[in-house]
Amino acid sequence: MTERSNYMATLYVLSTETYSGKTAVCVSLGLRMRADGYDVGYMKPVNMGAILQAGQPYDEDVVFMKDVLELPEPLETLAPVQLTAQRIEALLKGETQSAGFVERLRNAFLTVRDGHDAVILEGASNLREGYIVDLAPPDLARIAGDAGADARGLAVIRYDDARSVDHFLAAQKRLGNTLLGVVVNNVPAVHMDFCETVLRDYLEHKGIGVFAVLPRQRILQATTVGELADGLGAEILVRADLRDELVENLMVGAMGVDQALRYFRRRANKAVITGGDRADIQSAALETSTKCLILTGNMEPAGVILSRAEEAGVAVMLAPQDTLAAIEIAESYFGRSRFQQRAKIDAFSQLMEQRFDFPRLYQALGLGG
Amino acid sequence: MASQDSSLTLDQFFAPRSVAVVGASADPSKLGFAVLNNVVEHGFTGAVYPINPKADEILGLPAYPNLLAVPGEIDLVVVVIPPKAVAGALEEAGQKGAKGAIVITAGFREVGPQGMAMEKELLAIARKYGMRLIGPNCLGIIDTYAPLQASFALGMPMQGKIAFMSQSGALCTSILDMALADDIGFSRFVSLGNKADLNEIDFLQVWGSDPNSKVITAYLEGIADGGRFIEVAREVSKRTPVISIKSGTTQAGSKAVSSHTGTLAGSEKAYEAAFLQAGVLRAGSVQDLFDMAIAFAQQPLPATDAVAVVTNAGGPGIMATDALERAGLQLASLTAETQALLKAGLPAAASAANPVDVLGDAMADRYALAVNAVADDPNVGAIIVVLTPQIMTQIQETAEAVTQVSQRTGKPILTAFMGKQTIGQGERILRAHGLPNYPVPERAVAALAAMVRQKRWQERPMPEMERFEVDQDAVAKVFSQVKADGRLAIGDAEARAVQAAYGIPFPKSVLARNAEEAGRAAEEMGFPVVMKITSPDILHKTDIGGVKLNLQSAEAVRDAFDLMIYRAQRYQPSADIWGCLVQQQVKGGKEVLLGMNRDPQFGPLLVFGLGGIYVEALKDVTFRVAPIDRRQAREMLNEIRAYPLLRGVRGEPPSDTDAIVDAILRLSQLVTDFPEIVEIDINPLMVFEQGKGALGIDMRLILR
Repeated sequence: MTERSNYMATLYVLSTETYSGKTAVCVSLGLRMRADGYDVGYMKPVNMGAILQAGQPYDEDVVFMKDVLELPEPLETLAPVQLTAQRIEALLKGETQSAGFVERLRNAFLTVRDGHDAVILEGASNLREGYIVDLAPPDLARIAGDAGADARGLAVIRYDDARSVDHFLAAQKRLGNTLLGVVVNNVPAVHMDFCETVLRDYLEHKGIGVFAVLPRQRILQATTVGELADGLGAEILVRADLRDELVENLMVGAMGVDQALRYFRRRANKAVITGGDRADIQSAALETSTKCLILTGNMEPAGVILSRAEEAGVAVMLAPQDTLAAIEIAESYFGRSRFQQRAKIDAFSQLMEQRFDFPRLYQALGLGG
Repeated sequence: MASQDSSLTLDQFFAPRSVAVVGASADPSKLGFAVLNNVVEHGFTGAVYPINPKADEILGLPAYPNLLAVPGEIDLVVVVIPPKAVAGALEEAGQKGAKGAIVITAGFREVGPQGMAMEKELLAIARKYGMRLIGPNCLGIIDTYAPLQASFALGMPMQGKIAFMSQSGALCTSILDMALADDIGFSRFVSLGNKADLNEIDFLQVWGSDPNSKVITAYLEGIADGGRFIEVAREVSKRTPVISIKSGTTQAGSKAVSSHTGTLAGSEKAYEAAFLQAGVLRAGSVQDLFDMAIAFAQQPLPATDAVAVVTNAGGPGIMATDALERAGLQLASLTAETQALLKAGLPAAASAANPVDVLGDAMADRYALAVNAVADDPNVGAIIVVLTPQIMTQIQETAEAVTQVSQRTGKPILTAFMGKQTIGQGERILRAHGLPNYPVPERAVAALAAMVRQKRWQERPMPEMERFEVDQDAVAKVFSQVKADGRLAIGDAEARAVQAAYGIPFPKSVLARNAEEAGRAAEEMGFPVVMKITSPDILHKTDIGGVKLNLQSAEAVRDAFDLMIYRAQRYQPSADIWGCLVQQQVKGGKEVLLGMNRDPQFGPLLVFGLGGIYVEALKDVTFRVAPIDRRQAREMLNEIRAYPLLRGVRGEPPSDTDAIVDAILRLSQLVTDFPEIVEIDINPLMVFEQGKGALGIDMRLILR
C-alpha cells in the first residue's frame, strides 16, 4: 500500500485510434494492480460517443469496468461527461453550455481519488477528441493536475508496419511531458523481432518509454456468437447457450462439398455462413473447428443437421439476409469487437504478464514496490 | 455405436422364441396392424404378444395392456407407437428381460435436437438392460429361415442365400417387391434406420458366419466407423462376398445424403479405396447389386478368369467377348481335344474356337455338346451361355441341357438367354435350378467379373503392417506447441521436425525473418536457393508471387524477401506472416506428390501421384486408406499412369521407387499414429535415381 498523500498515482491510458486495445490495457493493468495489493480506481472522464439507454447516456465499457474492478462509485462518477451526437449538436447551436463540465469532472475526480490508491483514467478514442468541450487530452491532464494528481500518459498504439512509427511520434508531440510511454500493440509476427529491437531502441532514444511490445493475437480480434446473432438479427436455433463463445474467423461456404472440408480445416473457431439448404456444406463445417453456422435466406436446415450441431456443440442461427449481405454485416464485427469476454481478458492479461514492464510503471507512478 | 463383440450373434432378432408387438392394432390402416399381421401371417412359430391397452384381442391373439402384463418371456419387442411413448415401452421391455428391440417409430434424430435427445434416451435404456436395438426410424426385419417377418413391408420373400441391409427403408420395400416377381430369394433383410445402436458393421459381422447367407448385400449412405468397417469387412469378405451400393457420390447426391443422415457423404475416392481394401464389391445400381448377388448366391466361384462363351448368334458372341476384355477377363483358349470334339459334333460352319458359335439353327443337342465340352476343358474357368430365340430354337430344352451341365460341373455357368416374350419359360427352368440368367451378355460378364475379383480377393494374403523406428515424442511435442498457440497449420521448421522424426528426408532450409537473415542463410547453404513465403494464412503461395526459384546471390535473396513480404501484406493484410523459407535448390529428380486427407467416413486417405506443375490438370493420382502394407504401397505406384516414367523411359535410369514406397509407408504410419492430423501434403517429393533416395521438399500439415 502506498502512503496516502495529496499526490495521487494516476495513469492516463490513451490511444490514437479506436480498437487499438485501450480498454484491454486498462482492464489488465487494473487487475494486475489489484493483485499486487493496490486499491485501484477508474474513470473515463469524457466520452464523446455515448449512446442513450432508457434516456440516459450509457457507456458499456464503463459498466464493464465497474463490474470487473468492483468499483463502488456510481456510473455518473465513473463517467461524468458523456456526450451523445445530439448533445454535441445542441452545444454547437448554443442551446446548452459546456461550462459545467470542468467542475463536474473535477468533483468526480476528487471522489474517485479519495477512495483509492491509484486511478486509471481511460482516454477518448483518439488524441484529437474533446476540443469541442475544452476537454482534449492536454486539458484533462491539467484538470487532473489541479486536483492534485500528476496524470501520466500511456499510449496504446497499433503497429502495422514501419509507417506506424509516425503515430508514436505524433502522440509525443500532442502530449508532451504527459506521455510516459507506449504499448506497441497488435504487432504482426514477422515484425516482432524488429519492434523488440530496432523500434524499442529508437523510441527510447526519442524519450518514449516502451512498456510492452505485444504480438497480434487472433483471439483478441474475435467477436462472439451473440454479437453476430444480434448484429444479423438472427434467431439462434440450437445451442443458444453458446452466445458468449468467441468466434475468431469467418468463412463462407459456397463451394462444392469436396473442396469444403479442405477449406474449412484451415481456420479454427470460426463462423460459417452458408445457405440454409446446403446440408452438405453444413455437415462439412460441423466436421471442423466451428463455433456457429449462420444460415442465410431464412431457410430452415434439416432436422438431422440441427441434431448434429447440438451434439458437436455448434450454435446454429437463421439470418434473414442473403449470403452477401450477411457476410458484410458479420465481417464488420471482426477486429472491432468489444473486450468484454472472460477468454479475451485472460488471453490479454497473460500476454501482459509476459511482456509488460510493471516495475517500470510502478516506479514511474510512484507506487512503492 | 459399433459393437466390438466378436461373439455377437443377434439371435434375439433372427431366432427369437417370442415376439411382442407394442402398438399392435386391429385397424388395417395402422402400421401396428401391418407388423403384427406380418409376424402372424408369415409363419413365425413362437409366441406372439400384441400389446395395446385398448384391446383385449387382436387377430385372434390375446392382447395385453403393456409388456409387463405379458405372462410369458419375451425375446424380441417390435415398437410401433408414437415417439414420446417409445422410451417407456423400452423400459418395460428391459424389465421384462427382452434382449432385442426393433423401433420402427420415426421422429428421433432425423427431426432435430429434441428427437436426438429421445434417441439417446432409448440407447441408454437399451444399454442399461443389455438389450440391443435396431432403428429407430426403420422398416423392420425379415428372416426367411426363422421365419420372421417383423416389418411393415408387403409380402414375404422366398428363401434364398442373399442377406440384405439398407439405410433406406423405402428401398427395402421396392427390392422386396422386385424380388418376389423375379423369384429372388433372401436369407435376411434388415432396415437399419437411424442406427442408434446396431449398424452395418454389426450385421456384417454376424452375417459373415450365417450358414444361410452366401452373399451379403447392402445399400449404404454413410458408414458409422470407417476404420472398423474396413477391418470387419476385410475379414468377412474372405469367406462371404460383400456387395454394396454407396449412394451420394455426386455433388447433388452428397447434399441429399447430408440432409437425410446429417453426415458428410464421404468422398468418392475414399469409398473406392476403402471398398477395395475391404474386399467389398461396389454396385452402381440396384440392378448391378442383384446381378452380382444372384451369381454369388447360386454359382461357385471360378477357379480362373478364363471364360468360354457358347452362343447361337455371332453378334451377341462378339458383344460378350468385348465385354470380357473390358472387364479384364480372358477368353479361354480351348484345348486341341475340346476343339476336336466340337468340330466333330458341330456343323462345319460352326466355330469350334472360343467364342463357340453353335449357329442360329442350333437345337438343344448342339448346346449340350458344346457346353459339356467347354465345361470339361481344363483351360476354362467359367462359362457364359448366350441364346437368341430363332424359330427352331428349343428354349426350354436348351435350358434343361445347360442345367444338367451346371449340376455336374464345379465351374460357374451364367446364361444370357436374350429376349422376353418367348424366353420366359426357359428362364424359369434356369432359375429353378440356380442358374442366373441375364437379358444381355454384358450383364452376365459383369457378374462374372465380380466373381473373379472375389476369387482373387480370397486368395490375396492379409496385409502385413510393418513399423519403422520413429520418434513419436518429438512429433507430439511439435503438435502440442501448435495447439497451445491456437494454430491449425504447422510452420516450416515444425514440418521439418516432423519429417525428421518419421524419417522423411528434406533438403537444407532455414526460416528467415528478415532480409539479412535470408541472405546469410543462402550464403551458408550455397547457391542457387529457393524462397517461399511462410504464413499459415496464405494458401496459394505461387498466386501472389510467394515462391522464387533459382536465386543466385545474397542480394537477389534479400530483394526477393522484401518483395515477397510486401506482396503478401498487400494481398492479405490480416495474414500472419512468419517470414520466408530459404531452401537449397534440389536438381535432377522426378517430382511426385504424397499426401493424406482425413475422410469423414474412412479416416486417413493416402494419396500418391505424379507431382509438378501438371498435377491439377492430369489428376494422375491413386488412393488408399491408411494403414497400408508394403504390397499396397507398391500397388499405388503401379496404378498411376505415369508409372513408366518412374521406371525410366528411353534409356533413362529408373527412379528410386523403393524410396517412394518407404516414404508412403512412413507417412501411413505418421497419420495412423496421430489421428489429429487432418491433412498432409508432401509436394513435391523429389525422387532421384535408383539407390539415391528421395527428398520431401515441401510439407504442409494441418491439425484438427
